[in-house]
Amino acid sequence: MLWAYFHFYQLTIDSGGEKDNTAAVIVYEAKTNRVRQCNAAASSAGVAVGMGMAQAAALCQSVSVIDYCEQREAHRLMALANRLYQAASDIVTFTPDGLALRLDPLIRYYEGLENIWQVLVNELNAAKVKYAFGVGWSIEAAKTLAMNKANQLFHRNEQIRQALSACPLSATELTDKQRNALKRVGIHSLQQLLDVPASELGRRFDNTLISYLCALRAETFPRVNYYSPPDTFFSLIEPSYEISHTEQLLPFMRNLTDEFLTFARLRNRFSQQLCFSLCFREIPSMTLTVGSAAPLFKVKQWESLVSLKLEQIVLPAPVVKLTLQVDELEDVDEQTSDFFNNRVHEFAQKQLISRLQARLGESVIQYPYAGDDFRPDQLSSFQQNNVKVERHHPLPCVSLLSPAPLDESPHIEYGPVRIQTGWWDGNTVKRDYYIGRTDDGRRLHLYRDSAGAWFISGMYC
Amino acid sequence: MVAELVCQTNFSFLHGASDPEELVNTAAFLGYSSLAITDECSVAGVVRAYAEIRRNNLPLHLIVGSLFRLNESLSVVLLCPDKKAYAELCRIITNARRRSEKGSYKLAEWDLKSVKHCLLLWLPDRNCDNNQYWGNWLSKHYASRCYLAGSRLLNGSDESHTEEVVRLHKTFNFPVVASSLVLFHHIDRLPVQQILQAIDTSSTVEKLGLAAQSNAERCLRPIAKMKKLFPARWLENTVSVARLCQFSLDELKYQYPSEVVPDGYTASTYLRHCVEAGIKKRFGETLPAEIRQTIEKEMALISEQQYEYFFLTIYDVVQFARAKGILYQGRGSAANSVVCYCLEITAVDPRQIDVLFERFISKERDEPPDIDVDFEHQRREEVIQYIYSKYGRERTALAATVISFRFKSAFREVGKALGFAESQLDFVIKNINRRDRTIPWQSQIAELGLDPTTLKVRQLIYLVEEIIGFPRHLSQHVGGFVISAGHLYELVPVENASMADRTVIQWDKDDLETLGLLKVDVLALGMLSAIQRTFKIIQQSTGFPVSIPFITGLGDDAQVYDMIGNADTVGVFQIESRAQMSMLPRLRPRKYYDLVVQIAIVRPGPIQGDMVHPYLKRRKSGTKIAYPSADVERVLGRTMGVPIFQEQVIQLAMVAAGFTGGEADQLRRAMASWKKNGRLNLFREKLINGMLDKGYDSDFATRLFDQIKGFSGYGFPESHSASFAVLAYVSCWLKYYFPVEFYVGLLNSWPMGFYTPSQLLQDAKRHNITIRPVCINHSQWTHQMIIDGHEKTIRLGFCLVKGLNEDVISNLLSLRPENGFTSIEQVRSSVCLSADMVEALASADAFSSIAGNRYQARWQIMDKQSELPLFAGQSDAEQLSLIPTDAENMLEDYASTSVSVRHHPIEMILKTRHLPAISFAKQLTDKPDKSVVHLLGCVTCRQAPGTATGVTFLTLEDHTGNTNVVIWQSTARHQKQPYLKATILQVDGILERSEEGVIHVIAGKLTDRSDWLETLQVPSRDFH
Repeated sequence: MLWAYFHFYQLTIDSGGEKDNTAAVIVYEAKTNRVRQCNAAASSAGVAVGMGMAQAAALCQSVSVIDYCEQREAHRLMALANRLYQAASDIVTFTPDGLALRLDPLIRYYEGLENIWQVLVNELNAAKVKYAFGVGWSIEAAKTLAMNKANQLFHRNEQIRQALSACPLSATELTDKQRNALKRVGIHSLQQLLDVPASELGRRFDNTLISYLCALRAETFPRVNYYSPPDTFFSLIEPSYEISHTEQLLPFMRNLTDEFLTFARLRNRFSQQLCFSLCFREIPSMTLTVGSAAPLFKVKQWESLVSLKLEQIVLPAPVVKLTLQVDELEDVDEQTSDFFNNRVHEFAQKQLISRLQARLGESVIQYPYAGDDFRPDQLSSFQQNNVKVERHHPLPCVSLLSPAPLDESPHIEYGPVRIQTGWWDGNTVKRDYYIGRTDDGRRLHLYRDSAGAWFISGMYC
Repeated sequence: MVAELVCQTNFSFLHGASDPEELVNTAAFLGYSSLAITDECSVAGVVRAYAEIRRNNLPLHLIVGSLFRLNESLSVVLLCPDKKAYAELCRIITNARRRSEKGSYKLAEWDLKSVKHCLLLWLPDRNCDNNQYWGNWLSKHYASRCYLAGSRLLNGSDESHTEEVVRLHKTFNFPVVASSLVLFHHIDRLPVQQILQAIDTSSTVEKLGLAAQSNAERCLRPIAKMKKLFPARWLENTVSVARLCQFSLDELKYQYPSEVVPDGYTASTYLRHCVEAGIKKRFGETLPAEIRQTIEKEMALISEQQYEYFFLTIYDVVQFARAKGILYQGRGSAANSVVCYCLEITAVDPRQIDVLFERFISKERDEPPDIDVDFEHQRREEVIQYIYSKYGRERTALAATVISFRFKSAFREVGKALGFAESQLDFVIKNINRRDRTIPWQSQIAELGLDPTTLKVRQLIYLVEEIIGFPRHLSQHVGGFVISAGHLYELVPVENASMADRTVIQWDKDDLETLGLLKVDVLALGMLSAIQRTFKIIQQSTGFPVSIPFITGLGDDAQVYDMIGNADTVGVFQIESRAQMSMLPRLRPRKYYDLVVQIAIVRPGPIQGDMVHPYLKRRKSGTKIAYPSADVERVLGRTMGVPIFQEQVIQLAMVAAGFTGGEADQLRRAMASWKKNGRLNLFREKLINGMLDKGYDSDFATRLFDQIKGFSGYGFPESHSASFAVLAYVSCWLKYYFPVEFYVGLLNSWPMGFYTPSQLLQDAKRHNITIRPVCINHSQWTHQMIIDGHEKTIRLGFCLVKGLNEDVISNLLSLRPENGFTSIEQVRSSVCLSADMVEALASADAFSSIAGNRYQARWQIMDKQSELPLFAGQSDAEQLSLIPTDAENMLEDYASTSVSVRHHPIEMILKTRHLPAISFAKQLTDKPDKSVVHLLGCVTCRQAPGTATGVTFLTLEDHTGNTNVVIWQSTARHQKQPYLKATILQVDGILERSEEGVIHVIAGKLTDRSDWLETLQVPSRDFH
């Protein structure tokens, strides 16, 4: 067997698409306070993988920091596997940042190792990812060489053996404990370890180490799960510029939809719901669920629904990434196309709401809500649940969009309620609120500002 | 007249938003006749309010009380009309606090039922049914002592609340008193209160929503407004209640524990008895007349101030320590009196130091006497347990330390409450340089990504500044015990500390001082352990008992002072730090008092007050100093006209600016907390005018005030320095005459002091002391002095090996054959050692005498098969023939014991590299001043002291000694990588030698040579 292992050592940085090569970028894992990845500019400033944030920041103050997210890397890895799957079938993924490919069955197919290698390299270059690789007689051997940044395509076993001998134990998959135990008897390199008779190791270590060494020597057949393209659909686009207007989003969403429809068609499946996510730089992403009661198979049909959906939203910040996730796929059968199958004729309020919820997603149906704020002018908000909040003073049924000056002298029935808060968002309020009754019997929600002027802010019914 | 009866200070942690001081000042300003400080289940803020009223002579009557929440439906305030009620309140707080974990409380219904003297203010609930129930309950238990608190907070519920209060008043006939339920002194503090609430609930201020205060009505409101809001009757009732509360903290009289005086004696006669016995012991039969005179003067002062019990209590504690062989040393304002010398509280011989007792206790200043007693750090617990067992836990507790918000905590907590991301806050905190006095932190945060022009950041800056200094929680004082005659909880509430079996009172050191309560400081000092151990080793080897009085009794030893003058002081007490060591050759101490100065002078106070250089200059030149007056000469004469000690500053204020004793005491306190509240500036005018009036020129006056400011918070008292100097001298004497014994004593007392065992052992090696490694057949648990022929050597002990346990090792030692173990197998079979411990011993190379090198030993140990019964005794396993290189041995030594006695890393590098240009520490003495030198060494210390802006002091250690390297900020900035990362550093720089021979190297180029050591690790051996 001959395996290649690719270690994508800066997958997160590569996914970001560096605009400016001179800017230092690091990927930082807060949980362990460790720099996980750094680009060339950061390295030249002295930042190294494994450092803490304080030291990294001290060495390079202008460094851009990307938070490490294993899941994001794993997604990216799957995308790479999917890409390579076009060229090679036996792929094993090692989340979050490595994959192994079996090369020997392909040599004949591609008429030579060099040819298949060129295809793989071209694919990875096109994906714009940096990687270290190793080629060996087993996955473990290839991985060890890759971790040691061997970066050489070996044709002969002797070459592999030599390269492996030079590897330090840190390149292997031994546990820290095992490595430490070996280090403290003076065994630092793989060569030294392989030279120890297995029986001697067996007296001192458990089976995992022996099994690993057997695998490394290709003495066992690999038991691995090969990569197969997923049953559900997920794809993402990271536009090269930030998108601020919803109409600019549409072409990207169309591309994603098209990609999905091709995916579904190949599997003879369909979905009635597309789940887009719009990601922003600072704030949490926004989910857009576009649903259809009937199965749709054409891009145009979906596009009209998507554009309707887009009209309803306002982007809180520029979009930096779009994803499309479709988890629920159904098989196409003859029933699928009947649009009127389950039509309900009762349009009671609750049914309408639940239908709207089903069609548009629960988050878009909201109830008016007297918000969790003392300031009456901050109250016109909505929430998903129809829950009432108990307040000390009764709020008016109608709230004026902007307060109107009071030009009569109503009789004060209630108050004052002094609201003097809201400094944190810049909308500081200092007012005394009252309920007043006019001569003609109307009840008004009034306030007096700090200058002593009176205003009507709402009315009671 | 109006009284406010419910008021929480910021000692209701994370709830109240004003200092007690701010509240009483504002209440007096607004014209309130009385103010009750009613923190939640606490009286922690009361003393501060009391002190502020006294300090400013405020026309305000202070009422002591506390707020309690029994459950969701009952909140009450208890107020103290008299001393009995106060004792009751303290008892209830104590019970409620002791039932619960540190920082919280749990009130029981029974607690409220047991109240017989306190007045109760009921804060009614919004639920009428609950109120009905509790109304009945209170009528039953508090018939004539219950009042209803009516509040109008303009929050929308006033109407219903007032109706309910009136209904309850009619039903139960409890009088109603008006209250604003005060949480802060001024409406401007509302944001602070809301931020505190957000911090308390781990939320953001934005998310507080309706749970926050809707307005600022819970401040101290102007009387006119109160009159507008409340019925006159309700306001009159506040005054009636206030009139009932006649208790004042003045009434608290500290009762000393009586058991320190045996039957048949009074405190006075017993103290006299003990002193006379001490005189015989200390001075023999011939007591010099002048000393007798001093003793009589001191005794008279003690008697006048009624301090006999205090001295006897300390005497009792130190007698216990003496009986148990625990070394101790007293220090502090009263400790260096002749009486304390006779009572054996201190070893400072008055014949050696010109002790003026007034210098330490001053009747005019009316300070409480201050005696701290340091004990051997590893045996202090015995003393603490003695105090607990003698006086009982009900009469003894530790003083509290109020932990306040500091910059970092305030920035982090306020930032979180404003909604900043934690990672961003952490980043800013880690990268902000608080010592950079040229750029304030407010400007620095701009560089770190927080734009100060935005609203949120402006709020952050404002609120952080407001909250710095706010109390956050109570913690325990390091060793200040308060012991009382009766139950302590009748004097002050006691609560649980985080440490098991420790209780703390709710007042800190300053509060105790304010009330004249005395505490006994039982502190831990590592050097005393080291000295005691050294004494024991000397006695074991020579049979001669050495003690502190013996050494000090020998007088100043020129050879010891030569050693000190050469800065050969690694490991000794106080004068061992880098800064002290570079000062020693300049000051060149020749007598005891020089050491007293030396210890006090290398402190931020004198350095920031710019007093060091004038002192050194005058000392060196020996010129006659002109003093502006004889008074000033008397104060400053002993320190060449330069104020070095805290006491001198206070005395100057008294003699030169005409401060009274009380004012001087206030000045002392203001100095201690200047950074926190800026109160010191209030004294500026008075001090300068006072000096001008007395004829001093304004230059002198201004300079003195600046020096006082420099001293603030950092000044070192002479009384402490005097005691420390004794220990410093004793440790130097031991290091000079008994170095091996001294190092062993030090190493066995570690952790302590400035240096790691590795640095101490390197120093020992430089003194030509042979150090033998840990050995399975020769070592004990502790380090030992071994006499090998005529040579004294150090044998390292098992305690150095990481991962070992003393009990297991003592078992091993008891089973060790007379001729030693012969194989690892024998060790494992005869002693029940865990695999980890055997491995730890192998890593430390402790088996080298019986199992080859450490690799082979570990390889043998790792063999699990031979442990199985079937294979027992078989040793046919293949042996590993790896031999560790010297470098590997060194790294393993460091990994397993943190020290390597074989090789210094620099020595190792020299074996493989030819480095003719490099100069080592020892060679620097031959280099001319201002010459270019190239150094190579391990970076053992990086210090950027606040007293030297932008400079980093770096210690480079090589196999010949240490070198001090000075790195300027610009050098560090431009060579960040080696500056921050290097463990082995090459420094190319300029050598600077002072006239006294102190060598510094000013760094130019820094090169990280850490890789030179790493390359040594490459192994090149094979299995055979």
